Amino acid sequence: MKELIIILLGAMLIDNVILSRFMGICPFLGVSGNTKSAQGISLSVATAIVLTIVITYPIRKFLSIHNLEYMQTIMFILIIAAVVQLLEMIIKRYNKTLYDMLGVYLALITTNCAVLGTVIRCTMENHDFVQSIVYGIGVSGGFALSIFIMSGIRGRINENEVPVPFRGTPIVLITAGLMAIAFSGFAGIGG
Amino acid sequence: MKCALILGITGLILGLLLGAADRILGSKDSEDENVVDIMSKLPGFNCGACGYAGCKELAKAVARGDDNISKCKVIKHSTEKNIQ
Repeated sequence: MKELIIILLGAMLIDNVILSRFMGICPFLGVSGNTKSAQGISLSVATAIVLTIVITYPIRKFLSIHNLEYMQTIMFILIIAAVVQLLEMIIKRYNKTLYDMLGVYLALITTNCAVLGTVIRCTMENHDFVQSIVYGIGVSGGFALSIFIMSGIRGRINENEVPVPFRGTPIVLITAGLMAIAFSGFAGIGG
Repeated sequence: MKCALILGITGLILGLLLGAADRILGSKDSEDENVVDIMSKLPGFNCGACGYAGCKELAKAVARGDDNISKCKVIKHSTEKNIQ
């Protein structure tokens, strides 16, 4: 139990997928404009990560039994692509507004390092089923946290006078850097 | 040989699953004819140079009247080449 909590907090705060491991920057910069789209993208990425982890667990076991570990990467990518396609179909059918808001960023979850990185991390550290799911939930939580904070800050940035060379993406990147420095304060907790 | 088989079977299963999901979830998409018409004029690279997230978004904006199709840098470039 204690181990699960450590895995959860580690994935969420200490080893934050966006701010410490630097994966999944694309939706972080592209969709964090307002809180609504931030909500949508973090829910989509969370679903993608958890579904992928659940589906790839038996595949990992199967491949390691037959000594075919080298096939892991391509199998994971196949699964991720299929899961994201399924997700896109479901969102398009049940929530057209969200689908229009996310646009192309929904399909880009396929190439999002956060999803593949999470699965590969689970494989490297040999987590069992429950640990992998907890890890996936932690990563999704960390992702959501970072995007929400960024969308809040961006709302404030838009109201202020930013120097002309910095308007748009540059100030967002600087803000992301400052956020990363802030989150690095968690490093070292939990060993 | 084993890996080709595994990959092939996985691909087949996933493809069938996605096809079935498409049938079940069905696209109730009533595509606007204007959008389809404008999209046929665009190159379909989804490069984002026009400022929209993909050719479909630019087509929708042009259909709404918010923007002009000359925003597409790929078409502009190729028409200039044709003139030369």
